[in-house]
Amino acid sequence: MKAQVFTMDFIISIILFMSMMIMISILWSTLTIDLESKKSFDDMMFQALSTSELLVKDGGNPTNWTTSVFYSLGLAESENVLEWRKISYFVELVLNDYSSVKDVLGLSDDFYFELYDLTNSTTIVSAPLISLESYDNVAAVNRIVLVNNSLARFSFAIVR
Amino acid sequence: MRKGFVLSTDLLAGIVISIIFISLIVFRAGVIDSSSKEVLRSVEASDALIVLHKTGVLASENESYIKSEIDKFSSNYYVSINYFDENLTNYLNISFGEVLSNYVFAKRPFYSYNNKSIIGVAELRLK
Repeated sequence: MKAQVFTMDFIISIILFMSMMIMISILWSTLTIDLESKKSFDDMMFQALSTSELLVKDGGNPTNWTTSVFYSLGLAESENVLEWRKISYFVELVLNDYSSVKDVLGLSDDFYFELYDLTNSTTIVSAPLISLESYDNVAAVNRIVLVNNSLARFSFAIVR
Repeated sequence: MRKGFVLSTDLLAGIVISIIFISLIVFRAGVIDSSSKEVLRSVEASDALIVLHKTGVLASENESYIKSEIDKFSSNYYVSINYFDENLTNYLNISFGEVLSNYVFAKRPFYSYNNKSIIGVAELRLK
C-alpha cells in the first residue's frame, strides 16, 4: 500500500513537472524572441532618438554648411528652432546623395524624416521618397520644433 | 498515507514557486516594454516646453492662448505654470488639463523681459 501511494505521487509529480517544464520552455522561448526583437527595436529607437537630437539641437559643421561642404549635419539655428535653408539643403542631400547622409549621420539602417506644420496640419517636407508600409519595423521619434516661427513636428524614423 | 501528504505539500509548494517565477518573467518583460515609450513622451514634453518658451507662449499669462498652442500637438495633458515677479513673489498660478496618473512630465524654468520682468516655472504632463 505504501509503495503504491508513493508510485501514484511519483507519477503525478512527473506529469506536473513535465507540464511545468514544457510550459516554462515555451514561455522562455517566446520571451527570448520577444526580448530579442525588443532589443533590436530599442537599437533602432536609440539611433532615431540620437539622430533627431543632433538634427534639432545642432547647426552642423560648418554652421553655414552647404550641400557640397559639410562635415556634420544639423538643422538648428538654436535649440529646437530649425533653419529653413538647412532643411532645404538636407532634403536635397537626402534625395540626391542618400548614402553620404547616412554615413555622416552614422546610421547603419535606412531612415525617413517628415516635417509637419502643426498650425495648418500639412506636411511641409518629407524624404526620401519611400513608403513606410513596405517596412516591417519602423522606430519613429517625434520632436516639437519651430520652423519660420510656427509650431511643427519633426518626425525621424529608422526603418528595417 | 502520511508520506503521500508530505509529498503533495512539496508538490504544491513547487507549483506555487513555478507560478511566481513565470509571473516574474512576464512582469519583467512588461516593464521593459513600457520604458522606451516613456522616454519618447518625456522628450516630447521637454521639446514642447522649450518651444513654448521661445515663442513667448508661456510668458503670455494667457490661459486660452497657451491651451490652443498645446492642443496643436497633444490632446491629453496637464499644465501647471507658476509666475514670479522680480522680487520672486508668486503672483499667478495657471493650471489646466486632466492627466493625473500614468503620465510623464517635464519641468522648465523660463523668463521674459519684454513688457515686465517675469520668471516662471512650467510643468507639462503628457499621457
